[in-house]
Amino acid sequence: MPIIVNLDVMMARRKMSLTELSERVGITMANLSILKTGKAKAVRLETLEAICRVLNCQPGDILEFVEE
Amino acid sequence: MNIKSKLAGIIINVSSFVIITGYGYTLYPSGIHNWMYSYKETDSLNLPVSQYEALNDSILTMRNLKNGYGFDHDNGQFAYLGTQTSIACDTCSYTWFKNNTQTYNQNYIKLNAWGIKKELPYKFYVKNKQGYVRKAVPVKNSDSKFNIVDVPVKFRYNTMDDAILIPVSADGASLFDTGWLILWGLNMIGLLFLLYLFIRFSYDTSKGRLFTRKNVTRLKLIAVSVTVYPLSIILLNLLVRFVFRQYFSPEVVLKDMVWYNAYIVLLIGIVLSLLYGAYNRAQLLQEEQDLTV
Repeated sequence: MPIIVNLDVMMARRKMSLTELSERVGITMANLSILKTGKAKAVRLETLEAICRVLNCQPGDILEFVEE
Repeated sequence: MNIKSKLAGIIINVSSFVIITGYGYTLYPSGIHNWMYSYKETDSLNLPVSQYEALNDSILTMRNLKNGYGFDHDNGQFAYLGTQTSIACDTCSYTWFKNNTQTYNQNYIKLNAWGIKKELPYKFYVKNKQGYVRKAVPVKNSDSKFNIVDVPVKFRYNTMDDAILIPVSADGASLFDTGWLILWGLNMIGLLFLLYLFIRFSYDTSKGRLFTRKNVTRLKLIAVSVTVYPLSIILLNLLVRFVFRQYFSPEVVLKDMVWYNAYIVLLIGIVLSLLYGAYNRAQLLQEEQDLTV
């Protein structure tokens, strides 16, 4: 998929673990793992909003379009 | 032997002679075999029911023996195919059979899918080892008038089951039975596998695992099998007709029952195929839903 999820990069910048992000965003570890590994087929706007709020970033910092 | 038995015997023999030889029947023009018209003609004889039944039974038995399917024994049936062992005896009588153990076995391949066109109630007989089918032929320049004629045919016919019989040797019947058994075995394995798929499908559904890839694949296999099955049965019987084409005549037709049964199963197959389509779509939606964060 040409959409790359840079969640792990942002988490590293903010020095935040997956467990902590999961607790603060309010989604399960399993769903967060799906998002992080790029297996997700869709992201709800409310999920994206919660992640951006916790990581203090823009959606574009997490999602990136790369031509295949 | 008491007087009653003797009397019954005489009545049976005389009646059989009258019916089988055609004495007293001039319903059809000369040249047409009318001697096998109907044992129901015995309605005119004033007999007690028990004697009347015995008379009909004995005449039927004799006629069956002459036609080559006396005391027939079916060896199983699958896909409207099977074999039959009967007694074929042109000169035997019912009484003779009661007192003798000697038999004249004749083996047949029984084609239950094929019957004779329904034109007249009594439509097949054998005379001098030659089979005949009774047929109504339209009179020239007339839409409503028909001539009744008897057409010689190569096959034999089981009147009770409305099935075409192909005379074969004992070895031929044995070979056919072996092939038939293999086909039946494969069919049973297939049916058991489909049953297994259906049970797994039902179990997963009951556990709430409805729209999974496995369930969709199972449903696809069931739908395809159920759709293809009746078509393959018809194709198999058409193939059999092709193999034995020398025995067939225009009077032989694929029975309505075969089409009717095929339609029902085909309809179920189509419904299952539609269900498969719905499940396939639902499975994609389910997958998308599961991978939505």
